[in-house]
Amino acid sequence: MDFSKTPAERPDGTEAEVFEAEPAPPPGAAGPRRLDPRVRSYWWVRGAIYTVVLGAAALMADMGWFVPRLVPGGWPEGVFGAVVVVVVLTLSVVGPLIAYERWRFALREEDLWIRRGILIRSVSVIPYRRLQFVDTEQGPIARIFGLAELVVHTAAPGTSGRVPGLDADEAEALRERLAHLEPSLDEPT
Amino acid sequence: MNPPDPAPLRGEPTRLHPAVLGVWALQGVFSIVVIVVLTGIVPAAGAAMLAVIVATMVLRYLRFRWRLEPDALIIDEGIFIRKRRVIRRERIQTVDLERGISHRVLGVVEVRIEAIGAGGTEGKLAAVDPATAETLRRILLGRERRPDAPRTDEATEDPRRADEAEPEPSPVAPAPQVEERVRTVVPPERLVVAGMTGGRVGVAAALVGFLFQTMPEDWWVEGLGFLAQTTPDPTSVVGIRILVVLAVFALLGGFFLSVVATVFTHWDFTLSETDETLGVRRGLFTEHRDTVPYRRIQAVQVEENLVRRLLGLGAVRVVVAGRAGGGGNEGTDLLLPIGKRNELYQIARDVVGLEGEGRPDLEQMPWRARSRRYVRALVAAGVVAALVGFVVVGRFDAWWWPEIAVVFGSVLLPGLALAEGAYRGLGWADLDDHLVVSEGVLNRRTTFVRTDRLQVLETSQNPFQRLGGLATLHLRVARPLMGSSPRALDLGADGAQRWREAVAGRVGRPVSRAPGDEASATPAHGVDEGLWLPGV
Repeated sequence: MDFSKTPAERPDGTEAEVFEAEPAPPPGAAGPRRLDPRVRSYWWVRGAIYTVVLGAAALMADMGWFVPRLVPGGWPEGVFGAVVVVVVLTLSVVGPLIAYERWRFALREEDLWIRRGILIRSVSVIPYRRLQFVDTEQGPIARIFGLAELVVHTAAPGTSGRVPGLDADEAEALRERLAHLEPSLDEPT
Repeated sequence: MNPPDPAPLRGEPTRLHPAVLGVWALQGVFSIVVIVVLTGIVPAAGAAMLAVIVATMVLRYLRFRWRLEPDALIIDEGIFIRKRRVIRRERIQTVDLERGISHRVLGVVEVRIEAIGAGGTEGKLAAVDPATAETLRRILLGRERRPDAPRTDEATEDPRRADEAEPEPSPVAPAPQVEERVRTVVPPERLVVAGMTGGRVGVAAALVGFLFQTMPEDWWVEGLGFLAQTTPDPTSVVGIRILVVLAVFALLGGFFLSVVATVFTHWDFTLSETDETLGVRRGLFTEHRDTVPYRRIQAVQVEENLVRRLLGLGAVRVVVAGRAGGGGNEGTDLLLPIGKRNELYQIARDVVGLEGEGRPDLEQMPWRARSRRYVRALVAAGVVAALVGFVVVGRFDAWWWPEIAVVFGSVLLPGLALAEGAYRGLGWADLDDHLVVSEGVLNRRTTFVRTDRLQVLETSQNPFQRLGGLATLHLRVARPLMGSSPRALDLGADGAQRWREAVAGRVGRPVSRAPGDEASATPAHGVDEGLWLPGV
């Protein structure tokens, strides 16, 4: 394909790096970074909770505990519930591993770059000058692991980007850094 | 017309026009009728309800105050819970004036203010006298003047000079009186065409026509004759025919009504422009006057559905952030309900400030995008044939293979035609300051986006795209929650990535030439505008 403007030309004349290629450089180096490895444990714990809740619901429906049996009579008791438990358990064990492998983020010169997605893979580029506000979020489970999530918003509806699984202190630092990068502040009031 | 009432515009808290009581009463006619009926049955209850309604209306009127501050519109209201609403000027996206029948009778207009970051209409002034409404609109949508902008050093006086032939702006109307140029008026017969070819209606009509073609000549006349004599019995053949005839007539009735509705809501559709705004006036019974500043327009879309495309017709829409109606709402964001192809693209180009004429030449997507669509058609035909095999026939028997093959073929052929159309509907163009993307076969949408309106760029790949080495580039702009962002579907994966990077470098750059931007005089200004900056 023929693009009139390739490779990307930045106003400062440097060539924009395209961080698609594996492998990721070591942490601390410039370029795309992985999430904090603890995020896997965090996701596993979350997955365990899903498994318990969904598994309990499926077993209830299957065995007819507390509710009428919802599974067609042709299935022996317990099979459907067991299948659900196994599938959910597998997903919540394997999912975090794949997601961790896929996730990368980078604070580039002019934008925040985020790669993610297991089935639908995506790369978001969020120019700093478009940032409206930057949040950090920390749920109860994440707090146990000392993790926090960075959430950035632009004028586009919904959340424009999120980076889960950051060390809580680092998330704070990133938030502050991004908040002060915002060039729209020299707009007149 | 009375001279504009200056009090609220000078910042004094003011009530709505007293005629609002009449407007509310007329709008509440239904409940009043109920009460009158109720009074006939239980007089005391009816009287009590009427008293409550009138008291509420009067209280609402008495408690409502609005005023205009230099940088915000302030509305105080609420009977039990007092609310103050501060709508800052830079958040305001559009200001619409609406005159329903009750407003016309009483000689007032309703003002609706749409702001970014709001779920629905942010500010509503139920009744204002027309002159005040007009002035208010002009002030609210006026360009913010920056004393520190470079051009003001010498140019402050000069651009105004040109306007001096016009009457001096009155002291209560700081925004300059600008000339409104009428761009297009849509005549009624074109609106009929619009109604007949619009979206689902057009498709339904085509289907009905097709049904009539395939049926024996006078079977429905026969059905009608039976209808006069018997109640339809759905178990008999005649009964089924009668039901089908009824359904067809219901469809035709719906078609007719929707054509009438299109003509009424878009009656006297007039698109006009000033140097800074676009205005739409429309409506027979309820008159709408919508105004949107150029700098609030996020994207422009030319819509050509299959029927209209064959006739060389289409419609133009704008995407504006914070519009309550959202993308799909008929009318609210239409710039032109129907027009000839050249006209549509000319409007779209002018609105985003793109030179040239006609539909831009678009690049095609790679061949793999076409293969993907053909494969999809094949799979769909296969699934339908398999379903027919299992459900209708009940078994896979050699005896039935020819029939299943016929089903497969008759789904596959139109499917392949649609696939080819869908592929040809895809396209993209990078015109430096503008990006153009197109997609759709039943309804082809060509979207024009200015790079300085882009918020986030995103490439994505679903598993099927990954198989074909394809990717989608999403061009996220500030838009209403409902509706979707412009996107370039099924670019080559490498190309999508490179295009994303190339455009990302241009996101912050001001567009050199665009309406409402007064050339390069306002560099950073035109760029980040339209954004709500909390805490600034």
